[in-house]
Amino acid sequence: MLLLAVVMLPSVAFAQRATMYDTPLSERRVAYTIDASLDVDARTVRGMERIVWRNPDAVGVDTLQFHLYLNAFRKRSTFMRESGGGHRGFEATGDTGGITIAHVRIVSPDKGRFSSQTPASDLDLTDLLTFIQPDDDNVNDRTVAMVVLPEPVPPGETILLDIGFEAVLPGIIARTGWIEKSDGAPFFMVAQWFPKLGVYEIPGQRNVPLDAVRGQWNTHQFHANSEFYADFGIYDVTLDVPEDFLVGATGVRTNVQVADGRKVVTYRAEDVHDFAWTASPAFIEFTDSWRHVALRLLLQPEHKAQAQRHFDAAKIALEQTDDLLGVYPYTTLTLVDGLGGSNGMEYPTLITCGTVVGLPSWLRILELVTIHEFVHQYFYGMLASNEFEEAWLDEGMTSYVETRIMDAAFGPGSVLDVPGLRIDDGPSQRLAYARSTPERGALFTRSWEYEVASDYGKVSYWKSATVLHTLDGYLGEATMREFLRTYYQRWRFGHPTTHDLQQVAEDVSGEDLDWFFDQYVYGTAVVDYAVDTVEVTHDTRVTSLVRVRRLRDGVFPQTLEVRFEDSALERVAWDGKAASKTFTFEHGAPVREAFLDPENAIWLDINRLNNRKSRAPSTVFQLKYLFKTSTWMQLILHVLGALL
Amino acid sequence: MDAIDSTRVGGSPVSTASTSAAPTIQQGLIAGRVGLRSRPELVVIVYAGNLLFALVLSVPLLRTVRDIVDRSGFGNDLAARFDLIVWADILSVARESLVAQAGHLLWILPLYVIWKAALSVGLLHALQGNRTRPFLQGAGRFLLWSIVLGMVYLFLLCLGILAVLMLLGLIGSAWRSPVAILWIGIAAPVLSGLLVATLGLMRGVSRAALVIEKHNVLSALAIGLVWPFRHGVIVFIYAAWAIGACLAILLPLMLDGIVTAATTTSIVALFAAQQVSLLCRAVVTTGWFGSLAGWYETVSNRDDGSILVSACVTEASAKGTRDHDPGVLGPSRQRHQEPV
Repeated sequence: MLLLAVVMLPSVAFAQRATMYDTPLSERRVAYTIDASLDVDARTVRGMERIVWRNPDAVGVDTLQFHLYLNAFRKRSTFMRESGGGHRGFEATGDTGGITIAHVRIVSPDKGRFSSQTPASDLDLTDLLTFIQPDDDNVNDRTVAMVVLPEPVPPGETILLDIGFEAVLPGIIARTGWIEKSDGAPFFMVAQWFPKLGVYEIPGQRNVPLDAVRGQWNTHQFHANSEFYADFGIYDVTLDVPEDFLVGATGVRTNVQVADGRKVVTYRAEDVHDFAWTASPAFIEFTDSWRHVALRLLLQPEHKAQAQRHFDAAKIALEQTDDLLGVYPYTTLTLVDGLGGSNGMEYPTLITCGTVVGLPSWLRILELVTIHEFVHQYFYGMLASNEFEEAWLDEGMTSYVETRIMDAAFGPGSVLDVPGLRIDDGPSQRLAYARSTPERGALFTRSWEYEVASDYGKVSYWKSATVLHTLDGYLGEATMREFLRTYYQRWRFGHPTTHDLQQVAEDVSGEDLDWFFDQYVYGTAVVDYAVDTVEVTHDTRVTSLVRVRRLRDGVFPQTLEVRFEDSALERVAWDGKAASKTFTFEHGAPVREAFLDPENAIWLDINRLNNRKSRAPSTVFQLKYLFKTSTWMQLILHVLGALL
Repeated sequence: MDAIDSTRVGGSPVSTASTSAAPTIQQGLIAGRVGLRSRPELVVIVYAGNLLFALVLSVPLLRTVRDIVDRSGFGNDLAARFDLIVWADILSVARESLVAQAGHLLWILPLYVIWKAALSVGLLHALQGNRTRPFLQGAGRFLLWSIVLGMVYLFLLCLGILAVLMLLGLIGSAWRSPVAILWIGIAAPVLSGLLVATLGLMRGVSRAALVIEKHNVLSALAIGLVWPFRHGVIVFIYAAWAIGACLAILLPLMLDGIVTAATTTSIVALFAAQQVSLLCRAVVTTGWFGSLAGWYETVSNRDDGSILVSACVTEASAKGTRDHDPGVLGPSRQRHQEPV
């Protein structure tokens, strides 16, 4: 009877593979096989996982370190201490969540899917598991665990671990947890939910010296202001959820079985460093495709009218990143319209976008978030820099590429486009940087070590995008494109550092860029140049003196353009190092105006207004704005008059 | 016979009223049009007053910005296109000056309240009866009580908006869903707008009662609050003029968003087009008050007054201060000759 039931199960198998290549894209140092079941009422995921880890070092490794990031939502954790219980406008609820390890066992390679046998006591590591705090002294933080192995894993050899765990999901916060819709339908965003190995960095990898005797684990606690860092591998995940739930997850769906009111969905992901999933009975599903990529959209029903906007944005992102960076090798992309604090997040091949009912077409927040999160597939997903230590390599690069895509795809008013007011993505990020204490916070800063916590966002997103636009202006469009493509090609699946990125920029441009990176990536220099005075003397000939000044500590090569009264133009270069410099122009006519950075290439200049000085006022401006202001005032008064 | 006869225009009495028929929407609108033809200078007063206030507010603020922009050389660029970065820099430099200027210009608010109150009663005075009365005479004679009425209605408006927000808040707390939030977001401004419009109509009727029949403030207030419900045609007349008013306001806004004027010629042309639209807005205001005056005179004549007049015995009639200008509509005079 049981056999019959199994045979009769409605089962759908999918032939799709996880990437478009037959060969591995990454080193695949780790593989996870996970069986997990969602208990909706208890808001808990119970699971078993097998981790296969290969020691990449030339010496034996006798410890393992794990991320247990769901413990970040326990009281008194480092995340809670740093965030005060809130994250990006969403407060932690009373359900704090956490992950409990039932057992950790070493198993031999010939065991079945999961070992049910009790191993020899020396192979049961459960009691050896200890919590460590590599980043701070918070003994209450249980987001990183370590185990000392009975014997080292030999170089190049693998170790198999079976881990039983129970993940209690918090009320949704920091893109993780559960929430109920107003109609009672539950929504689950299940991320950071299983015990996951940290990254073992071998000598020569990232910042471990090449001549070091051995590598070291790079495992950080969960912080309020940081995202993640993990190693590439393979995930085979089986999820057991109620039958009426729709599931979206990292990777490609390989099988679906339905029986006894439950649905068992199997996913496989290759060459990724994380696995996240979402489940809800409220979702409605849409599908589309772009070249080799199957697009799947899980949308809240009330946002049904915006399905096409999601796909359009995703296709723009796919097209533009393919052009700017290189191919997206995965065969799936799942777009999730989440709830609460789940939106605006990237996981491998799965992104959460989010929108609101009635979002007007002239406000492209949906497009911006979708494009931003997709671009993360490159910098977070495939380049996979260490976001704890160098968040800007992900968030900053992503923001820069996002602004390029948004402004190219939608033109003037790419973010907000209403009559009379057009706001573009790039300039708005530049403005946000320039108006937010620009002298505070270097790009190269560990995420939790900013003097003021809110500087993380300003620096990692806005300043980074502005720095990269400035580099773009300095190198030129063609070189910048080559830099971006080379960086991706050289370092994908390689966890590059800031040093690696600079090296690529120098290789491509053929020049030493220390002066740039030292000031604006590792340092906090601020750029502000001004045209101070324009003076004209009439002796035997007309002489114009233009004095320019450097107002802040940032040094940047400048171009000074002067326009003479006879409309002739002349450009001179200045290295920008001195505090001030006076340029003398002898021309048949006096200088009418002087303009520093006329091409608007130095986005880091925090005050563009003082870059220019004119001896002739603009009558057109006066006329236009006198008329405009008085007309607007008349309109305002008419409206005000309705109240009186 | 029509309640309002518009066959005679051009400074002569043009309206006669019937004591038997209620005015129609068309007649109400015609009364406004006749008023416009009879007293076109009123349009100029409305337009010029508003323009003057706008210039008084604009010029000092613009001078602050202009001084900064002129030194920079960005003037022509800014005239040609919106530049977020440069405008942010300008506002950063000018912020303190602009805030100070705005503070100094606050005195204009009470002046504007006075102007609006004077405008309403001045127009009603000038457009009632045979439409020959001087604007200033009405503005001067009824200004004080017009302001009081305006303040009472402003208070009612504040109460109304508070009630709307509380109601929507209650609905929102009971019906928590994204769709509800959207509808509340739409309903709040719509209901507030309707409230402003309704109270605006009532305020107009009150002022008409104040000017045309010399009711005291309480009586005028009561008439304003009740008559629009009793004589619903005024709602449609008001709505018709309000549509015109909205179009006349939206057109300059649309032009501002659509047209990129960067040369002197195009800037002047755009401004001229916008001002024509704003002149139309003044036409609407004047036309509305013409309609209001005509409607009020007709309705006050045919209404038996049993409800309102008994409740609103006017001090004016008691003291015999009624206006006996020869051009005043007969019904207006007759009504107060009837026993109350």
